[in-house]
Amino acid sequence: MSSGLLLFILRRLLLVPPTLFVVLLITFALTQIAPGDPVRLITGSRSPDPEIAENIREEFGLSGGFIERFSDYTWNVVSDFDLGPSYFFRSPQRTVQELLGERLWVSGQLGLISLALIYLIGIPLGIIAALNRGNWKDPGLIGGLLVFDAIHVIVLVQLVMWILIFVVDDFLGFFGIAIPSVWESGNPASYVVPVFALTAPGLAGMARFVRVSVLTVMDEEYVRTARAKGLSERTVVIRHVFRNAMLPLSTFFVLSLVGVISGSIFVETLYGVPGVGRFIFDSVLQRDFNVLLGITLLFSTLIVLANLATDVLYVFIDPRIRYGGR
Amino acid sequence: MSRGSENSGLSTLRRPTRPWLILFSLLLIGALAAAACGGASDSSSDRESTPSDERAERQSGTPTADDADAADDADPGAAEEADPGAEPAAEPAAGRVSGQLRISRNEPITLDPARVTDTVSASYVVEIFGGLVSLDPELNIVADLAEDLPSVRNNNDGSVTYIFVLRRDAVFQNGRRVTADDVKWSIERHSAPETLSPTAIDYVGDIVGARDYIRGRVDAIDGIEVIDDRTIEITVDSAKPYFLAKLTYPTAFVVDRNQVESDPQNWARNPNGTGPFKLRSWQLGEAIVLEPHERYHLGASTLESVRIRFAGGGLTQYENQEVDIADVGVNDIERVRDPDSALNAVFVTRPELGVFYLAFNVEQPPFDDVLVRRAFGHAIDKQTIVEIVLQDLLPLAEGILPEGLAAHDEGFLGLAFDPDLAMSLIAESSYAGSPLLNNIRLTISGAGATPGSTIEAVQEMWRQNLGIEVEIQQVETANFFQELDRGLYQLFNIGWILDYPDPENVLDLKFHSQSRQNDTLYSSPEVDALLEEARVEQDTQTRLELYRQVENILVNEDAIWIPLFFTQANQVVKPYVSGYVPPRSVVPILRFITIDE
Repeated sequence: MSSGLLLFILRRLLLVPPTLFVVLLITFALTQIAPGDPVRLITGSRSPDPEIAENIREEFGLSGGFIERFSDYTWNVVSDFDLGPSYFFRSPQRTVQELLGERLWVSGQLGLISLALIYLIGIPLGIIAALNRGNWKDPGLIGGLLVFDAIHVIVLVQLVMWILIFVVDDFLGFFGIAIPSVWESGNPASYVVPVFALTAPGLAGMARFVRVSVLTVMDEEYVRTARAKGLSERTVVIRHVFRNAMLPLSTFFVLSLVGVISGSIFVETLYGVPGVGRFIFDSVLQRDFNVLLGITLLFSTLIVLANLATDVLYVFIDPRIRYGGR
Repeated sequence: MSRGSENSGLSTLRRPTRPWLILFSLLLIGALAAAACGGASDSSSDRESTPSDERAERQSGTPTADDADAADDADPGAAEEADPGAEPAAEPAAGRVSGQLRISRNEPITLDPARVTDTVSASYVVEIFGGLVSLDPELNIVADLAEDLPSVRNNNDGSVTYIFVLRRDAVFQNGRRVTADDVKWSIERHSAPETLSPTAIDYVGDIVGARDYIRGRVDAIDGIEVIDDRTIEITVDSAKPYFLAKLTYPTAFVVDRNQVESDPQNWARNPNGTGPFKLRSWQLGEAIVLEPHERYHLGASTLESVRIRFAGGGLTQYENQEVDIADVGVNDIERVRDPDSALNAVFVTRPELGVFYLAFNVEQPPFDDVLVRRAFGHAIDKQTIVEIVLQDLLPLAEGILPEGLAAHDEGFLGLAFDPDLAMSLIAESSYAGSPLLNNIRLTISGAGATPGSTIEAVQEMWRQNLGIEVEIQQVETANFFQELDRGLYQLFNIGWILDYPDPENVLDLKFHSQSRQNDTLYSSPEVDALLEEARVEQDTQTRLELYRQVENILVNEDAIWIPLFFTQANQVVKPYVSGYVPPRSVVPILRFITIDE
């Protein structure tokens, strides 16, 4: 690794905290102007005694000015990685990091499996589509994948559940598989519905991206040269086309990541997965601002780091790219 | 208490958890999904017959069948592999633990009795904790930690003292005996300003000295006196017939002083209550498992455990053998009512102590004119709503007081559906021809995609019968109550579930001009006087009559509320679950349940 690259990574890493700070500031400001009083949710439909309402406000750090609260919050995050208490779950008091812990693990698993599948299935399908340009297989394949993209994930989850639980259940049962209608920890069959619903909509995007990428490369002069050298089609595709077509693909990683995260909000909510996605949904409704801030911070960090990783990966995939050098 | 953490307007008919709320609205919209839904009905009603038939066989079964059961329960996966042909999907892979009851509810917000305001949290708290008195499934007040209902002493100053004698065998779940000191300490702890209980002022406030204590002005509640280890006297400022009922609410439940003092923030992670069940595990976002308190003084449950999951709860889960009790919604009711369906045999319904209504803000035009309010009431055909839109899933509400309250009057009639009268009332009103009539907004709470078919039906009836176009505004729960407090809504729709079976809990709370919960801003000296009289009326019958009188004024004369329907539990219960009746309100029920295996 060149020192130029190290410098580049260092510079990008130094930019991470300010980026996150701006994200935090904007999100925090949004929670301030958002309508809805967390105290009112805590007391339910019961109109609280003003004194009690004030005490609750105090306990949750909801009193005080914007600057004071924002700096308190930021300080706690930076110094102790303390994301503050949940407004909603209380007595026992739960911190945001506690509430996120187990959920991150569940969502992380689903997300990683889905991302891996999007790549493992999407890339070969994209290549097959590209190699079949001009005959029916190409539009057939891409069109078929687009169906999953076009059906909104909310409907897709229902559809998949219905098919697995009521249509082919006897068939699956024959193999000793019973798909639960709601997520059940410790039951591997629980993964089928959410992983499918997170993977399927991402396949079309991936396959199309790969297809275009491969087609572009196939028109390049060095591919023609490779063919002209008399290399077998197989070698041409694998050694020359594929490798170069993969370059823009690394950018696609961040896009897929965002897709999987936002998809998880619906999938987890509909399938009752105790993950971060469903937690976002619930927390918005519950005005649990500390949770929302924590999740935003977490995902922003994830995306910023993924972007950085992508840039670094470029160097390894494309030797022409150099950072920091002149 | 108001309706749980999922206040989502009328679109949620029976405490659906949110995923299904979205699901149902979408299923209605998407033709694709609608097709899927129809298909599901067919295939799943077929399915239902299988497990229950199988269950019938089990009960009268041969020894071999029982052996198979045992194997099944021990390791369902293995059993399926061994005999894949025999109803393989009947048991989910994770299987059912023998003797375990599986149900669905939302996740509790808190397990601290002092802080409960919602029905969901309360439903856990009443199983884990207990107080001097409790409600049975029929909503009778019964002794819990007390040996018997208290004896009453009338004092010279008009106050009343309730004398409770504690049971000798009442113990906390860790085995420590419950004493009178525990009771006093708990009520004072729940009411202390630093506990931040939103309910203490309403439920404990009648005890002599409690209000000053709640506001932090004195160091103890004078009205609670420990006589000896087992005797405690609670003095109430005046004879209030509903006071005992208030003690059934969690604000009067007993907590373990040692535990709370040693860890004030976190003790409720592993609460040591006196109730019939203790917390075995709490998986955040997923499930709570309760297990029987083996030394429970009213008889320990024979269940192995109760697994309560925070998602699902619908018929799909029931039919997929994942829960033992499930709610039935409007979308499924036709199928469940079909006499040929196996679901029909296990379908139970029971009215609850809740009422859904439309309410007017009497200070906002045009609803400051009683004629306009009445006209809006006469223009609604509740019968049609209940029959067509709700498929008779919920009982029509003529009045405010639901069945299950002694004051409920079967013969009570509200404003009759009469479009002509409605039109003439509008014409008579001070707003006849006013542009204000065309600028009315009905506000509902919730986050569903649609306002719900009931509200759409009401809107349509007003359009047809009054020629008035009412705009519907949906506001998320958090904002809804806040803005309601500030009197911002002229017309709104919401539900109220009573915390204890006494008309005072709705009529006094919602309509007395001095009540903080009076969100219609209604103020009538006549009604105030009647309510105050009813508070202290000692003759039960006279007292009920007073409340009926108030109900009539509110519904028919002043038309403050238009009650639409009462809440009702509509559930299917697996045939092997015995002793379960849907509760009329939030009361401890789990200990009555057994599983026949």
